[in-house]
Parts: sequence; structure tokens; C-alpha cells
Amino acid sequence: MTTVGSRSDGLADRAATCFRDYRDGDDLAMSRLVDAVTPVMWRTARGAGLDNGNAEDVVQEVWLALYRQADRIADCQAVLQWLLVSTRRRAWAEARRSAKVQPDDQPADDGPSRVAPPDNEPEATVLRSDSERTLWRHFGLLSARCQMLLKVIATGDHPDYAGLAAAMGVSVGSIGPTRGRCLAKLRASLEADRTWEGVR
Amino acid sequence: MNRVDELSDGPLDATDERILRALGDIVSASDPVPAGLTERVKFALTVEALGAQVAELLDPTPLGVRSAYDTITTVTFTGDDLTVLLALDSEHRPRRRITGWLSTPDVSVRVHGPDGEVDVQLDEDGRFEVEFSRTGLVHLVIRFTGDPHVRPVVTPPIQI
Repeated sequence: MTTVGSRSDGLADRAATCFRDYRDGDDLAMSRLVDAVTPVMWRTARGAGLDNGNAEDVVQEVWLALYRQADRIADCQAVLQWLLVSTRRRAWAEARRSAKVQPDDQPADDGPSRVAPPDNEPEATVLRSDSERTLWRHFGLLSARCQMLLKVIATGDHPDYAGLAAAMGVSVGSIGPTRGRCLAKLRASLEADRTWEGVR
Repeated sequence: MNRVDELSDGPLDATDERILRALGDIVSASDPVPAGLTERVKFALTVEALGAQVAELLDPTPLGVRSAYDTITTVTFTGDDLTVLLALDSEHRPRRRITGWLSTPDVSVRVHGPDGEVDVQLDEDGRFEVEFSRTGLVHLVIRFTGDPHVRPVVTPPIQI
């Protein structure tokens, strides 16, 4: 079993290694960096409420921006954070521009989601069990910011919870990763639901 | 919400892992990352890096008259100073072979395909052949050897 929250060989480290190799003249390293980080960036853009086409445009713009500014990024180790923060900012800007959603990027805002849900919410076929339906219902009560964060973390490398959380601007405890408020809220909400029997 | 405060500062445990895994399964199944997204990003980076022009698809056209099951075996692209014809031979599946013709032999051609990148040799008629072990996206980067000031040409990715 993997160590929960282990940072060794997490996405942040792999991304940093690729970026360092690229800056040292390894042309193919950029390709490896794109393979490693693009899925997480796409999820981040979708989390801002963008449709598939706009999310893909934002992801491409951020990669082009990285290419143009590669020399100006002081700390290779921070490249994952740079990519995810840039994606989040551009995605929210695009979401505001299309004026379909309200920005909900403030950590203090714990209200329910104000972002329009993505157009392809899970259908009955995706939610295969009662526990999944219950989980999804409670997940839907979280703030838009928490939903986005947990979607990215849940679909990333699980051992890299700490790396991803840090890259997305969530503090990580000094003794290791803590749940943080988003996951804590989801779990408390599930615990308070008598129909919840956990997932295997 | 004391329970939330208490949980927030606690370390991740096996229950959290199961919740995250179940959530990850739902999100991945309902909203998958689009196929070909990373290839399209790499293509955009190639075009940017080369300051290249993207060749236009000339033929086959119009796509609308073709049946959905037609396999397209030849494709033509054109740039400012160049035309490229590619013919696909997939008789020896899963291997694929592309034969290409360029309107001028005074170019260098690098093929980006499912097996990686390869520099191909053109004969005096501007013809080349390249084989791939499997399906995937292919694009060409064409540089003018005679005049380095002419912008390179990149063909849009095609699925082979």
C-alpha cells in the first residue's frame, strides 16, 4: 500500500525534474512534462465551470505561456504550482468573461456552490451504487472551490495529496498532509448521514 | 462545526483514501480528459517553438460526402511554398507505412509519430517512406534547407 501523502516521486517532483531537464537542453523533456501535468490542468480548468472547448483553450494558453516564460521561472521546483495557479487564474478569468458563473475563489467563502455544474454531470450509469450516489450528493453541497480542489486531488496521484494541495494553494501541515477543510467537510457531512455506510 | 475543525487538522487515513478513490472514479468516468489533448498541446508547442506556418488540409474534401466507414488513404496539405501528399498503407496491421511526396526536394523532414521522432531521407523526387509499429497521431515538420529565412511548415496531426 502506498504511503498516504508521501511526496517522494510525486507529481510536483516529476514535473520539476522534467522542467529542469528541458532547461538543460533536453527537448523531449517538455513532452514528458506535458504528459504528466496536462490532465490535472484540464481538471482545474473544468473546475472553474468551463466547457470542454474553453477548458482546452485555457490549458493550451498556459502551456504556451510556460514555453515563452521558461527562462523567467526562478525555481524549477515550483513549476507544477506555476502551471496550476496559472490555469486556475485564466480559467476563472475566462469564466467571468463568459459571465455565466460568479467567481468563487475566496477561501473564506464556505457557502454552497454558485458555479454552474459542468454540463456532463454523472449519469445514473456512472453512479453505480447507493454509496456512490450518497457520496456524490454530499460532494455537491461543498463550495465550488472545495469541489474543484477535491476533484483535482481525487483524480491525481493519491500519494501526491500534499504536492497537489500545496500547488493549489492549500496549506499542508508540517508533520505531513492533513485533511484540510474541504475533505474534512465532506467527511463530516458523510458521517452525519445515517444512510452512509462508507465505500470500499 | 467542531467536528470539521477536528477532522481538518487530522492526518489522512484509509477512509479518506477510499473516499478520494471513489470520488476520483466518479469524476474520471463522468468527465474524462479528452482523447488527444496532450498531443494537441504538444503540436501547439511545436508550432510556437518553430515560429512555423501550419499547412492547410487541401484534400480529402469535402468530408461530408464520405461515408463514416471510409478509410482515407491519401491526404494533401499545402503551405505557402510547398505541397505535401501523404499515402497511408495499413495492410500490414498493426504496422503502418506512410509514403510522402513533397513538391520540392530541398527540404528536411522530421516525422513526429507514435514511435517518436524520426528524420526521413528524401529521394531526388521529394519522396520518402516511414513505418510505424502502431496507430497514433502523426505530424511532419518541414524545414527549407535552401533558404533558412523561410518559415518551417508543420502539418496538422492526422490519425493513422
